[in-house]
Amino acid sequence: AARMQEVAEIRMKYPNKIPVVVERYQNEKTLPPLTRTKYLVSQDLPLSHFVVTLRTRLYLASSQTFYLLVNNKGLPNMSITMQELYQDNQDEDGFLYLTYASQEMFG
Amino acid sequence: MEATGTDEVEKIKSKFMSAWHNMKYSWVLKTKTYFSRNSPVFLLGKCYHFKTDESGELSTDGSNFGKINKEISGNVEEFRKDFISRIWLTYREEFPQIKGSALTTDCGWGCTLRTGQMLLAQGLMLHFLGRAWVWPDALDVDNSDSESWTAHTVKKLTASFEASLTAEREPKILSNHHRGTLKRNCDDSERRNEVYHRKIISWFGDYPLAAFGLHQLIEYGKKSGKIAGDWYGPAVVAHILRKAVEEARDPELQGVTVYVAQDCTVYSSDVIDRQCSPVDSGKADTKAVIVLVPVRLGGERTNMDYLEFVKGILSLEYCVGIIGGKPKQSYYFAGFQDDSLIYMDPHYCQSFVDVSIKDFPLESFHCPSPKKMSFKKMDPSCTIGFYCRTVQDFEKASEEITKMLKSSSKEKYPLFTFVKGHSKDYDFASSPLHEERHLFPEDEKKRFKRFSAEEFVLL
Repeated sequence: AARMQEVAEIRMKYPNKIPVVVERYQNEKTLPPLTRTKYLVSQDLPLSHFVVTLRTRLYLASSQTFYLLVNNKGLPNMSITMQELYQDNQDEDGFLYLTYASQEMFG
Repeated sequence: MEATGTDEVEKIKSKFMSAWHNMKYSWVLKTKTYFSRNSPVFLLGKCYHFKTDESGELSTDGSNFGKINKEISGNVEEFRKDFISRIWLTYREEFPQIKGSALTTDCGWGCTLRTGQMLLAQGLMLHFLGRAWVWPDALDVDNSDSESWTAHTVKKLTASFEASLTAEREPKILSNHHRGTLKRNCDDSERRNEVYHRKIISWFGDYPLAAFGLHQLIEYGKKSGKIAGDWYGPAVVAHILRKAVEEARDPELQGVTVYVAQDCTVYSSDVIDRQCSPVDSGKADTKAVIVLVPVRLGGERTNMDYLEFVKGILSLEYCVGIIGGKPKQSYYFAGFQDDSLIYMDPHYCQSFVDVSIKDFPLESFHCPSPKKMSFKKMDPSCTIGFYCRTVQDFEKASEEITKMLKSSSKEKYPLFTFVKGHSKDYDFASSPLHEERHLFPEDEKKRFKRFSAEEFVLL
């Protein structure tokens, strides 16, 4: 409920921004945690830009894998905008929840 | 002195480990694989049906597969021939020591490198031999009378294969000996193919000079922060393979290149640039490309919505398979039946074979027994690969796969995309978009600060 109010306030103040929470996949072993997890993102920003931003924040090399998952299972298309992603996948509390993960290792 | 002392200890340790691994991994081969007779079996784009010996008769059954309509290319015997002809690379022991370590085996850690090798081997087979090629001796591998190679494995394998397929088997008429005589009469193209067959396998030999051998791959992996003994992931291996093909000096290999997609995006111009980059010999020919797409088919578990797409990919003839696995163990996925994937398992410890010897034994590089597992059990991490001989082939493939990406997945978004242009056209890491805070008017920024500045990052 507190979150809902938070979203309502922020949406009012920034109608063109989308509130996003980015979390690390619970079993992630190679990617570092993000220092900041809440983002306000321009609605017309393509997801691919957002990914690059996160990659930069995590200091990842280009060959390191980084996947953003919606609802912990689907890989969204890189070319859609944050607005489109938000419309289809926002949580009931008003945030868009994304999980990031790399790949598993095998022996 | 001290150093050699620990070396010895390491060696003994690794001996123990390999003995243990051998026990641990050999049971896999004893389990039987059952195939249904009522639905088609796909293997790297070829469709087989076990119900009938007359190929083509059941083509209507293909429609059960939804969008995948395929001509049936054979019965159970032909499937076996085709499957056994694929190159199988497994754990090996007693190979030359890996530089920078005491290891002489990859048992227990090298499986993703092995599945990656298998995928590359399939790519090279398409390149040099074509999809239709089968190893003329393929069915000999299955001969239980044969004592010619590591007999203990073959017997187990044969037993399991025969148990599952006996009903369809023709009685064996030709003995090994007869086949040997026939072999001598083979025509030129067959001989040429045999040369390539051996050559491809020798590129994967377990000694430092082999272009795609374990020793080289580990060297290239160091740049990704991996050392011998580490576990590897399908994406890391994709990059290692790209590097290995780039660095390969064999003139025969100058006509092949590898492209690895980043962030699930294939930039078409980047692929075509790779294909058109000048060949060393100065020929104007374009190169064939193996496109590798590292993906994640879900979070904790593989998302079942991707099943149809994975099946679709494996029913393309230019698909070179998938480096994937189940949690903790890497498998090379090459086909499917219904909702199960058909794979080759590298978790079997075999002895080192010196591939530099003329007429080295080929048998241990071919898997006599296919394995099957449910798609549900698949680990979401994998790398999908496909091969395109020419630029036109690549363009056709990208169209076909794009269509498949859109239609076959129940997920709202395609798993990966083909984008026109170069990745650098989309390079915005250095653009001001990256951190936009300074673009905000001062007063708005202040207002924001009062509100919850420390909580949100503005982009």
